[in-house]
Amino acid sequence: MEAVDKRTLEGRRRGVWRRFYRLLSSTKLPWALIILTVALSLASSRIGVIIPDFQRKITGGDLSLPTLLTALGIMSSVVLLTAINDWLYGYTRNSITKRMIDKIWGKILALPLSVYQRIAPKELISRTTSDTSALSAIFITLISNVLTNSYALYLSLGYVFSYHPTLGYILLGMIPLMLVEKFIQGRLSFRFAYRQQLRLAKLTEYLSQVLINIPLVKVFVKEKHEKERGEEAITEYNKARFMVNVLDIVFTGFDSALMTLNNVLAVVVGGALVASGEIDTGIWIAYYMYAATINSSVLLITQMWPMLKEAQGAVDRITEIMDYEDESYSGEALAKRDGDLCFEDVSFSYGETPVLKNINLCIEEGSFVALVGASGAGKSSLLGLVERFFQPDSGQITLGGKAINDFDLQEWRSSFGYVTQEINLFSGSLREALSYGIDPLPSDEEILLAAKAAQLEDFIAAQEKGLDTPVAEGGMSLSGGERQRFIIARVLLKQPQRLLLDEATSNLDAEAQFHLMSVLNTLAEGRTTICVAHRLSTVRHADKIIVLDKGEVKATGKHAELMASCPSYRDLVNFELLADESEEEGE
Amino acid sequence: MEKRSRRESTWRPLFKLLKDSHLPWWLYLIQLVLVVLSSQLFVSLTEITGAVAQGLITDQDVVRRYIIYSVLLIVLGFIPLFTSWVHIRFDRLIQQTAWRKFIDLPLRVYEKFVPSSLISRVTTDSLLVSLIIEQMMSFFQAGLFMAMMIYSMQGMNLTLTLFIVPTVILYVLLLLLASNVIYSIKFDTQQNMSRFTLFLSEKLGNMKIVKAAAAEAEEMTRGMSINQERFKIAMREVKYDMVMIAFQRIVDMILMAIVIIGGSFMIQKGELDLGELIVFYMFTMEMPSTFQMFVQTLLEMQGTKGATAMVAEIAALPAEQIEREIGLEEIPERSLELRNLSFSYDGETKILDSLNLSIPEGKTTAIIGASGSGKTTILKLLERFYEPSSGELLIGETEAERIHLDSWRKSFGYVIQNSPLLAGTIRENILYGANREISEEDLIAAAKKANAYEFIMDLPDGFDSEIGESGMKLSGGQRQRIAIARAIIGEPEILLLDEATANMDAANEFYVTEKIRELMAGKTMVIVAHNLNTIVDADQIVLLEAGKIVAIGPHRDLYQGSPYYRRIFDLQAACSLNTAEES
Repeated sequence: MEAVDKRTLEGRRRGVWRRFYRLLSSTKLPWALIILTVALSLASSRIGVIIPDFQRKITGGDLSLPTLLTALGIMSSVVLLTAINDWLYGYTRNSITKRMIDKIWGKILALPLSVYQRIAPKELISRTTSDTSALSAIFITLISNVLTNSYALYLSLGYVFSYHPTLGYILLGMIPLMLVEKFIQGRLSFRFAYRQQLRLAKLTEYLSQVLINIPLVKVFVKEKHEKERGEEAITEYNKARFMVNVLDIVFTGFDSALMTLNNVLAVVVGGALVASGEIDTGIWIAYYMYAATINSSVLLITQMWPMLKEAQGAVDRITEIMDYEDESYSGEALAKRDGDLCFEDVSFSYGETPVLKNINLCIEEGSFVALVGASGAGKSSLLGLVERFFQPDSGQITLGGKAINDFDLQEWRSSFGYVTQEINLFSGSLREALSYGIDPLPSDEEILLAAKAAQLEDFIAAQEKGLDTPVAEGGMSLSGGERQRFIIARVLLKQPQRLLLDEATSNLDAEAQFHLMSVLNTLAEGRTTICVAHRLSTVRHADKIIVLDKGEVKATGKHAELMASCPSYRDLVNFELLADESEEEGE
Repeated sequence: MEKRSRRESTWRPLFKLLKDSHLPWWLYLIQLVLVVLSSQLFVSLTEITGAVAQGLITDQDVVRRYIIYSVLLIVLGFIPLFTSWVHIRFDRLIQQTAWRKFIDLPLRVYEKFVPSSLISRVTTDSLLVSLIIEQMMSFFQAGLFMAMMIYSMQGMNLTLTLFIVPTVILYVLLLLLASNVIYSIKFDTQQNMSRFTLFLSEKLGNMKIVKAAAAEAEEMTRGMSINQERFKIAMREVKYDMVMIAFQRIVDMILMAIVIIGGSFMIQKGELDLGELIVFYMFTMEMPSTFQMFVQTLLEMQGTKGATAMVAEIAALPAEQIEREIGLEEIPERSLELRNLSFSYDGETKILDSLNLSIPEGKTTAIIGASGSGKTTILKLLERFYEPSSGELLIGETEAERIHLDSWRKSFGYVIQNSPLLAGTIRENILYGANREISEEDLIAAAKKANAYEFIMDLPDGFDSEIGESGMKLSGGQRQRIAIARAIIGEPEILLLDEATANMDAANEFYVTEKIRELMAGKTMVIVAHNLNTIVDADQIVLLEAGKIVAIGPHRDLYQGSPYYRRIFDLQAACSLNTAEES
């Protein structure tokens, strides 16, 4: 029955639960624990429900020792069972959560880059942390809570009916009332609260934005303006807060109204029955106690509803991630293979937008190739394709004649040193930051040697804990220049076979820029290097320059040749020269 | 001595804040009355319940009263609507006051705050005031209710009361003592959560780096170990909960036993009737939670009192002094001078050291130097974001501090690298810089001068395109051009540029720089730049090093006279101009 019409609500819901089932069955669940938890719950329910009935004996006047001891016995066993059950429940739930988190994290790591660009990190994080929690909660709670409470409900009703049918019918009648009320509350509350939360978030965002940009406000002397707008936003913000509360309060009011109604009925009807002698006060007390149990049981069962809704969302979001295809990791061993890196008729689009069209070029083994072109010409995408972050829509890339997709993915990527504009470091120690991803792990001497070459020696020496010093907050406490040197040191340590460089621009002052270039140039000698170039000196010394224009190869060659023959290339370079000339004229 | 004055200094600004917020205190009085009423009602209702249940059902008067009280109770159940309205009204007023305060902050003070925490200072911290009042209300209500119940109970049977009440009190106190344990667990849980979230967000935001380094397996292990830790901490909480709940259940059972067994015993002795037993039972069910609320609120109030330091801090925030003696219109000159000026952010390290710098009227002055040499600081001082630590800033011969801040800043234009744009349309952003009505032609002219008109017209909504969250959907260079349009639309008399074109590609940089020069011909301009090629034509170039001027003069003089300048210039020429691409 695979062909389910996903457009009908029923179909979608069925779809969700089928995916839920698939998710569960692919995660190793602790079934023994789950069954034990449920069994214990049911047992303690069974025993606990005796208590109100038992107290009739006592209020009836039986204060004998055996009776009292039995009462003590029952109460103690309930407490014990419930305690064990609580622990079991917690363990099971946390165990399920843990397994799910591991599973989803493993999946996320294996996803291709295109997915990360589609789903924001914040989203992925909440799916990993809160959605998994919600899922495991719903799973175990659904089974345990619903079963237990339904059972308790059933047993309690049994007792009450045995006392007097009228009392039974009263309670029976209350149940649907409560269910309907909770159902309506659930629907309204969800929709309404969600809308209000959105408004709150928007307003907070607006207020936050202004607060972060107060210098801007001062530059344009807009203090009065922003004060007024902010005050309005705050009024709206609090209106939204109030509305969230209102719904809550109204329904709580209805809840207590129902409970009061319940009480009134119990008292008036029950009282009448006592007066007429059909039941005694001991029964009335028991009835009153059972009514409370039934009340809370129904309440606990109805709490399932919002949890279910939340879980539905969680299942959707988690299964969405799970359904993506992993990157294809396996392949032939790469080892020290080298050769010319060639693009054969490669086309690539980013979503709908075409980025590269029919690229045909070869980068000779060991040569230094510079890529130039206006922004959006496709240079960074080209590097991405070489790294196999993306797959071309058509055509293929080869190394020494062999399609690069055939090689083991991780070995392939490890063979490249990738120096980009994104110079983020991860939290951890300096040692970890420098030796990230390098396998086998380099020794401290090797690390320090590389650091020296990257002009980081003094920096490390100045740190109290040396290489053990923690890199705070992903390296944000370091200057742009320092971070860049880290990346250089890392590449030096790695000694990759090939280099991919995406030149950073204005992060450093002239001197540091110069040093950086000389280190990279030394490193590039003898290595196949592709460099997205922004500097005249880089292109002047390149073995080959590839000029990209709107995703196509406009021209290739050396600097001098291109200057003579290619107008677009000349344009790219010319603006600089224009300024140089005027400087000379000013003499 | 010091402690008292510190506390005093906490309370006074706090009270001023409350006064400034014009809070409607009388609303709380109404709430108080309602609280008393509902407590009394509940107690009376319970007493009648017992009577009715016992069989006094035949007494019409009793039944009628019972039903009336029940209905009243239902109605009173909606009181929280009123309470909530009051609290939120309070919150709003205080938040608005706090908001105004933050807008008026002098920058020195503003910069001490962590930007991401600012919003919570305004929205969350402000809530502390109404919170403490709410807590006082709860405290009072719980206490009153408790007292009423005990009074009623002892009227029925003193002995039983003497058994029940101390048990409840002891129970709640033990409960609260034990709950200290949960704090350290909650803290650890939170720590682990932040660690995990930080870990995830670092990796997820930088997957390229992870994959390029083929470090997936490494990161899997790391993730699993943090997760395992989370499990362990969660289990600690489970164990704690188990013990606490078991304890609660035991005590509940004990209390129930006392009521049922002790009560039955009393009935046999004739000192209690069944109806009263029922009342005892109902009160005993209510008492633990009521007393718990009572004690808990008391404790929370202690904590909140401490947190009011946060609110007090907001209350004590200074305001920038906008009004001075005269307006800038009254001063004809537009030449600036820094005279013997020293400046330090923290009071220790001097960023600028006894600087003497003249910025001639109608000319372009360029300031260059290594990062941290003080270039940006000079601009900020010219914009009067800060006051000099010593020395003075003059315009013409007048001290700048005598001039109204708003008229000063209105005449200045100030563009930084990576200028932020606000959420809204492009039109709104550019017009943000205008102080008067701007015609469509003027808007277009400004956009053209900033070389932004073309790309704006390429957008589907043109000037009415929405720029999301600080201008996310545009490239850096495009955002910057809009910022420049914003700065020039106000026709500033003096323009300050801090690496304003650094992130643009050469073509744009060239064009925009030309246009700005045209626009500001005959007007004073101060430019800070890394890219020396953009400022070779400046009338005066100032070379800064560690807060001191090491060379000053036009390019040619500096090139010949200052070896340091020559070296920097040549180095840059070797790497030549950045064809810094817009990304």
